[in-house]
Amino acid sequence: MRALLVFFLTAIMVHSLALAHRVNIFAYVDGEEIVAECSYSKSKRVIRGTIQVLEADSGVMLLHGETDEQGMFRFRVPEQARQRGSDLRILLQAGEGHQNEWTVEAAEFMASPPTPVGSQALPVAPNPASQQGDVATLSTAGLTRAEVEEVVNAALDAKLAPIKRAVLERQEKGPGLQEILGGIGWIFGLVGVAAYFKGRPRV
Amino acid sequence: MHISEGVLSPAILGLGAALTAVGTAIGLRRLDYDRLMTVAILAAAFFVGSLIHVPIGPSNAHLILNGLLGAILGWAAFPAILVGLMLQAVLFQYGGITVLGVNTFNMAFPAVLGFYLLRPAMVGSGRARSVAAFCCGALSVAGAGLLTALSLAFTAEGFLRAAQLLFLAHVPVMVVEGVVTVLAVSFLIRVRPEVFSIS
Repeated sequence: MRALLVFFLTAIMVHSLALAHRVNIFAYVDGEEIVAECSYSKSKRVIRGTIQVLEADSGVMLLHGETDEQGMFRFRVPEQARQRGSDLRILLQAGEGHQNEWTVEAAEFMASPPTPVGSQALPVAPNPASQQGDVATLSTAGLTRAEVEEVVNAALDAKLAPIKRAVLERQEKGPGLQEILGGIGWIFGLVGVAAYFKGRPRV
Repeated sequence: MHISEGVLSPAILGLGAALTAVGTAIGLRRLDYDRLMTVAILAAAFFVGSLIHVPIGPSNAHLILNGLLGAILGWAAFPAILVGLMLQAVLFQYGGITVLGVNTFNMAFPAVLGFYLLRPAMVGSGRARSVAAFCCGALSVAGAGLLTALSLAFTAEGFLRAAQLLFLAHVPVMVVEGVVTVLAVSFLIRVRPEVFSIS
């Protein structure tokens, strides 16, 4: 009896990770890394789902791994993809036949090249359009390219965070009333067609 | 229970599609004019059933309702489930178009089995009816899980692991479906006994 109870309790716990309609994956470039967020719904993350990163055109697997407790998977952009400028296909397998994928285009990570080791101080070219204020100070301060990049990346991350969130939420949104009512309408429409063909002709 | 696009091999997809085509053809042939509305109502119930989340303990489950469809419709469960799944695939992106055949067969075949094995007891009376209806609801879900695991047998996941996960995940659903089927069947037999009169 007790064994049965334990079984049911485990069943219910396991269940919370397992039952879902579909999985979502959303990946973006974060500096030199790519971050993939995997979820069943807004609150349910894919824990320990299998991730494969493939080269989009050739289908060669570049690396693989598992998502963490938050359903996240981070990896450095593979050198091969960077050299050949190929898109990355990120494939998520969440078990029970649930699978989804997301493609990170080469342009997204090629824009942020790897920081060269021991980068020299490259003076930032003064912008002729705006000579006054901060820009002027910046150019004379002799900031390294890496430092400028870091500042810009941080600012962009902060600005783009809500947009990332919006994309994620949009993807995770369940079906709305429109789809549901539309589907029911379809069913009754199909029955109308069936009735038309099956109906007996009136005498 | 909805297997995603791109998981299964073409052979399994083809087999599923062929079996579903046969089942649907039988279902449509046996369907007469008077029962069209019953099929439509149950197809609609199946279509929205997966959106109804039932809280069980700390988590929640959604209904599948294939047992109920089998108990009432018999072979007509095939076309009803096919239409329901197709609309779920197109409108909600659950499952997918290429896996439609496999997914339909996985859910509809246990329903038809339930119809043949348990329907005779369901039109009986009293306790036997309730037990048969409960079993039909619960076992159809279990059967669908088993067939889904079998479909996944040739993927990286393997049969055993998929079967374990699916079974554990669906134990609460089986109980809820059993109860829903008992309630629906006993209600229909009281109010609309003619629904059960045609085989």
